[in-house]
Amino acid sequence: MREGWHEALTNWLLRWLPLFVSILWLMISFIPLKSELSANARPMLGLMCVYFWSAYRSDLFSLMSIFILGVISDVLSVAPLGIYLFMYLIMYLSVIKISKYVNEKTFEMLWIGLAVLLPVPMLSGWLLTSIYYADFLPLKSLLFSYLISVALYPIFGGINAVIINKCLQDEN
Amino acid sequence: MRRRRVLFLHLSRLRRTIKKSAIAVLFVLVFVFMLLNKTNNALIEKTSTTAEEIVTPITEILVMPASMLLNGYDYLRSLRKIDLENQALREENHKLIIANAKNRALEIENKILANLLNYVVPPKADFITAKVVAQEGTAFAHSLTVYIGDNNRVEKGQVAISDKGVVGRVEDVGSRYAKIALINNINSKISVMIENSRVRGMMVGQNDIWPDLVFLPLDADLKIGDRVITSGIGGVFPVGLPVGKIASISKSGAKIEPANNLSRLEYVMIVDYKLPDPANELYEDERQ
Repeated sequence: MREGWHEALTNWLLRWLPLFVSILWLMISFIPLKSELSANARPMLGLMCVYFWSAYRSDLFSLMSIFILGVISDVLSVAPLGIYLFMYLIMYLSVIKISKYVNEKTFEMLWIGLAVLLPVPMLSGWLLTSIYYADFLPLKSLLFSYLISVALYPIFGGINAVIINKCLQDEN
Repeated sequence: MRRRRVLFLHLSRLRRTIKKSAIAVLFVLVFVFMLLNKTNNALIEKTSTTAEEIVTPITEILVMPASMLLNGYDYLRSLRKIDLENQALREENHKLIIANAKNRALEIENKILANLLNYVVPPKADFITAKVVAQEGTAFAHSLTVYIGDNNRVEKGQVAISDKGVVGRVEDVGSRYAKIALINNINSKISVMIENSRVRGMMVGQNDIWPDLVFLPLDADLKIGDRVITSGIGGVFPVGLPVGKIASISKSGAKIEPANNLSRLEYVMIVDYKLPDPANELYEDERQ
């Protein structure tokens, strides 16, 4: 009886592990790094999480996870409420659309996939925020955020891959 | 048995429909959030603040090892320059001693003149010093999250400054944390003026590194390096708080380089200048 309870809890934790890891990444993205670059153009770690987990383990990263992650991002930010959730949903839809055509999920393929897909939610978010404020947001910092996100993806993806290999291997 | 099967079929169909429409529902929710946010809905504000109270302490714990590493790196870097810095500080100290003596004389003169003119002294400012625990810097927003402790004196709209000048304004207040929208955040608008020429304008954040200086008179004579200070119009900021200096000039206005390095802030002061809100004052006058 006790073992069963323990097993159920472990399964529950493993089921939500992608969300917990994503929240952790998200919070890391808010750490003050005392540099000019980090204060103006940070990697879009939330979007990278949505991309990674939707591509690798969409069974463990449901719309509920995206909703929770989006709300946390919006709460931590002073940007209009809902903007991050909007971008995450766009990213989720884009990955779902593309995953039908891409069967081979190698690391390089997913890296290229991120470089191709990331501008879609970022530009959508940029457009929606610009409409909200009735003023165009600078594209320069958006471009830098994009470049940093793509450049950091191998480190980010590598750590997430370790988590998959260590904790979610049996689930595969 | 048959009834059960029918019920099960109905339920699974309903579940499928919900699953299909969930994404559409979430998109609708996004627009509802944004609309409510635009109208400054109290419920949304309260929910957001409560959620922030839960999330921010975790961020603060995560910041600790990172800030220790950064401080260690800063310390090692500063060791290299310590000799030069020491010499510069001595020179600066010498200049400050002279400036201090001059200031004292000016202060006395100011007091005498204020008495002669029957000048009404503004209320004394009240402030707290808060530690920066999180920072946001993307194309979508520029903000700081600070720890204010169990302090109930902090209110939305109060001014955040550092030792060099204006940093931003309090955007959101929780029971232990507050969010500050920096001066380069897109919804930041502060009435400013050029210190020497007294030309007034509006400093507008653009989510860029430097905020813009707009709404300047056509004949405004600007020079790169001119100091920019708050004009006191609007009732939130008092006159004369340093903001930055003119960094570049274009046809549409100018760019202001903030007096503070906004990326390296560790502590900020949240100040309540207790200035009367001009809008309320006018309203009161009209009612009377």
